[in-house]
Amino acid sequence: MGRYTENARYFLICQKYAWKDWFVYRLQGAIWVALSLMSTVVTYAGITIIYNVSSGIPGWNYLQLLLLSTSSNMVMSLVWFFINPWSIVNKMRIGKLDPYLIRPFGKMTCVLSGVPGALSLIAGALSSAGIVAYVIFRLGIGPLLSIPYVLMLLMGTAALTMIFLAVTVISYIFMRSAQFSRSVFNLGESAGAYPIAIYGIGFQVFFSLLLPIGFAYYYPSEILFGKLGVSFILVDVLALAIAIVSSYAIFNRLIKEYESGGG
Amino acid sequence: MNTRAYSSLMIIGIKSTLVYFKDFILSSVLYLLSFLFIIFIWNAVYISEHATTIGGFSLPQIDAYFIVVGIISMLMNTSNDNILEEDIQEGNIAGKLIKPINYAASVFTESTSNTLITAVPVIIIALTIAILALHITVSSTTLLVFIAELAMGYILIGIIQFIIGSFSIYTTTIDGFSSLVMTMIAFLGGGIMPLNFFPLWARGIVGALPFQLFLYVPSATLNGAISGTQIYNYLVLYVAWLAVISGLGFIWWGRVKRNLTAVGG
Repeated sequence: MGRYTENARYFLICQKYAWKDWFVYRLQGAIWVALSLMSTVVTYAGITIIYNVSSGIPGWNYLQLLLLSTSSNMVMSLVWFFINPWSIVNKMRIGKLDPYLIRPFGKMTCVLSGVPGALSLIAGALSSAGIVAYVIFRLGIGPLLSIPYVLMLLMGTAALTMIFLAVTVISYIFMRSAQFSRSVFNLGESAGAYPIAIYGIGFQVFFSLLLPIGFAYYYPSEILFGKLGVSFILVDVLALAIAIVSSYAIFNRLIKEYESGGG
Repeated sequence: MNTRAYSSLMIIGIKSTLVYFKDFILSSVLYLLSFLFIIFIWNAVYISEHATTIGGFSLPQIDAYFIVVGIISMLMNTSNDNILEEDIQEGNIAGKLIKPINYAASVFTESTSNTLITAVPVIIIALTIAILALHITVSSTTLLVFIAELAMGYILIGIIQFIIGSFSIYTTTIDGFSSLVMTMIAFLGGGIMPLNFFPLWARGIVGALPFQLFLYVPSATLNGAISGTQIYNYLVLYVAWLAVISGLGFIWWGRVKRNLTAVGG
């Protein structure tokens, strides 16, 4: 337990300094905040326009789809908040990850703490969370379903962060670039804002087992709307736990392939 | 004009791009796949609506629209902003400004070499497959207008991204600003849905901005979703925006150069 506390403390200290750094470059930060809020506005406007010109996605009413899309935006903004593939790969290329990796903490903690993500994107996560709360209130969903829903979203965030971290290391090892990692991320971001069932069974399996955005927010939304039974919560939590453990193991194995190129 | 210097720059740019070619191909496939999902979404909407047309677009037209948008959007993103940002951050700009070539033109040459070796071949192959598979009838005039729109759109976005890149003199990095503009292009430029779907009041606002010229207009031209008169009006708009943005860019860059302090290089 002590090891986990130490890792968490180190992460929080690094976050504190990352935020201090954010205030030094507050103009850039403000632009990122605008971008982050814009993503929430685009999600909201997109869904509203779809339901203005048509009856929308079969089986999903306006509020339900709004909740799914904003939940997706919330989770993805949080993932970006924690991880920045470009910076990680850039640091790996020039050997600047070394000073972090030799610290007496877990390798994943070292990378996530030493190379912070886009902190400003917390604005997108919070604005999306506001819409999620509003929709839950409008639909009259009680705490018995909404609390597990939020917990599943948070667990999904953890799973996706660790998966993208592993993909970033894969991207570095095979291509020395972060573009692939970012493309995988964008793929999950664009596909996950809508019900994955409409993409066909092949993609549904892909988005459940390989890139589990399904378990991160699609299936939790289905549980919330009664499209899936409450017992599916256990399946969802189990699947996310497996994703977390396996991506952690893959990351720890692959980071050993990293060879310093300077520093 | 020092053509030898520019062709050398072009060769250097191509060589640098080829270093990450594998990454580019994989990323392009994933990028195009994300547009496939937009098509899935709109197919579901049309099926649920039992409608033959929405906003003047039939289902085959909407499929063709998004396929073309997905393909041409690869062109509508130059690396001018990143090149300028890196030059300013690392101080390389000092050395480059004293070279006997125009700095802005050298940035354009470098990023265009990147586009020529990566995006252009993918676009030609993917567009040909899309036109054949979707049975899109394209007359030679339409094709010429489409290419002209793409070329003008590319120059326009290049100038905009150059201006964005120059902001790094004040903000050090411009990633957020750059992403913000690209998000606006995707949404207000018809990358997420055709502009015909927007409410009337929003269409008025979008019509006054240049974003529609990057994705919506070329795609709608190729798919025959806009009339000849509208195409003519849009061509005039391209020229007008090019004149405005280049003029602004020219004045802006003159000011930026005066404020430049470089350390390193």
